[in-house]
Amino acid sequence: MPLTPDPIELDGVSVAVGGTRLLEAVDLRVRSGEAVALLGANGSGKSTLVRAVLGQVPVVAGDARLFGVSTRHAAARAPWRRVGYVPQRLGAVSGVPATALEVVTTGLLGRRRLRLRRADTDRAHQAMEQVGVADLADRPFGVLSGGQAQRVAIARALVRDPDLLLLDEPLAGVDVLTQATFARLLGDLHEQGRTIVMVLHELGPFGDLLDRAVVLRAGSVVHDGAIPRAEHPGTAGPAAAHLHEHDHLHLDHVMPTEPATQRSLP
Amino acid sequence: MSGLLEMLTVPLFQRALLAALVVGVSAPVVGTFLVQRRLSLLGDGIGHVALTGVALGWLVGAATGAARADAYAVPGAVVAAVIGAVAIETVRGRGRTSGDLALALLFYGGIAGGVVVIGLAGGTNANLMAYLFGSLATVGTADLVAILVMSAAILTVGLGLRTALFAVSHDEEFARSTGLPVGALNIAVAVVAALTVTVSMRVVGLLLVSALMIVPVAASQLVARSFRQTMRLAMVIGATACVAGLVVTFVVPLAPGAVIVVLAIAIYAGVAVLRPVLARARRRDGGSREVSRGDATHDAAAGSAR
Repeated sequence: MPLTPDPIELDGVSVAVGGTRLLEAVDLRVRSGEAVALLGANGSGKSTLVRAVLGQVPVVAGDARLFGVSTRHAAARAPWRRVGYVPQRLGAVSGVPATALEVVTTGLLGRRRLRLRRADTDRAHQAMEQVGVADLADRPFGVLSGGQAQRVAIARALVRDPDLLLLDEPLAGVDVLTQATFARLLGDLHEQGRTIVMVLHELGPFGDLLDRAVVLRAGSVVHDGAIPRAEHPGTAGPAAAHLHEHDHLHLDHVMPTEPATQRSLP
Repeated sequence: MSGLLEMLTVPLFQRALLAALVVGVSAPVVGTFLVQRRLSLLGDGIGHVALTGVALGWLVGAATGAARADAYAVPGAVVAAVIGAVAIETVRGRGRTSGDLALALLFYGGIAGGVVVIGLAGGTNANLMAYLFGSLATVGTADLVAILVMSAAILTVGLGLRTALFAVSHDEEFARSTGLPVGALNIAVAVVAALTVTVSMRVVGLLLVSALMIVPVAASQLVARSFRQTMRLAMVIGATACVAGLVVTFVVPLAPGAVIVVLAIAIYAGVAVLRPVLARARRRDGGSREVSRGDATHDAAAGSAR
């Protein structure tokens, strides 16, 4: 093992849920400070890959490591403090109201931190300011718009001051203007030396920020390397060519018969 | 008024009042987490299982020749309720059987089991009535001590771990990624819910236990804006309904458990009716700042990172 383990190492990881293979022998290494996009069609296994890293889906073969610690075998010892996760679904909107601030403060909890400390509210306010939602602190989380809720979820991850940010479809339900804001924010975080891994349906405004793209198809990695930068078909680079010379990564063309059962995990 | 003060000197009333107050405060704490998890009926499921526990305790009492036939009824209820609650949580966590179906099975099994077992113990269904509908008037000193100890445990877990339990109930996937011991916290909620059921059993009865956990939360969330506020207000509503209900039944001869629940529901109805008025008042004095803030402009003008 190297002295400073990589944030993410997947060695031949296979994931199966209820007899269905969702990932098949995936190898992936994300080095410290990298910004990586996970691309692919619906059901290609992007979100499953992120969840495998986090030990939240049954890994049936291989091993997933976070900063050198296996989340398959030793999840309790993994350095969760260094991880900031922004899930695709932003928590059920239940009958009980909760303010955006209350949601953000949950990001400060951890294995040995079951209670909040005095300074935690200030830290949560700072994180909300960082993503431009400071004024929403006292609003009920359930009434926020998609873009607002998404930013609150990012604040909840950032309040942990994570070395590794994992974002699952951060652009879902976010308008174009806000997307640009997100890109700036993540660019700044990247410059601070944080490692960023994003599940994306299309590159959107993130093309310039990313160092590398990993494309999945039916549970396997089919491309790992340069970003398909082409804004227009015709100027496509080699990576984009691999993706059917498509200017964005709706891989529906690549994988027309995507199995509906893989669309979402329970 | 003087009649009420006179009542306060009666030890029986004092015990009943203290039991009602303590239960009224602690049941909504657990209820807040149950409502948040959409498990409002969990308390009912546990309550039905607890009935079998009561009967099993009775059976043990009869078999061992205990001084009082019901000596082991409450311990039996605690054990059965905890087992039932942990079982429901395990089923829910695995995601195999729907929680809905698991609850239904507990409802039927719990009641039928209780009636069968009480028969085996040589008792009658009448013996179960005190547990089904509550019997505040028979709360003895030992019962009161048990209620106080269990309520202390409920409040310690429910309030002490409030943020962690909120995190797990709000977004389990994220909570897991922070390293929180999600499984243990889920079990903690289940166990505390089971304790609440057995504690409330003497006050409102197993059939109405859940109402004491859920109705104050239902009323509170109509007007509260935060989780913290919801819980606090629910505690106040629960305590108010319990104490007021008890006082009413010392004046009018009615079953305290039912009166308490009817009062709680009346409070809910009152809050629901008054809510538009309250909302308008709030908008007028505090919320003008918020109203002027359009969503679209806000999204566009958002700042970037430091």
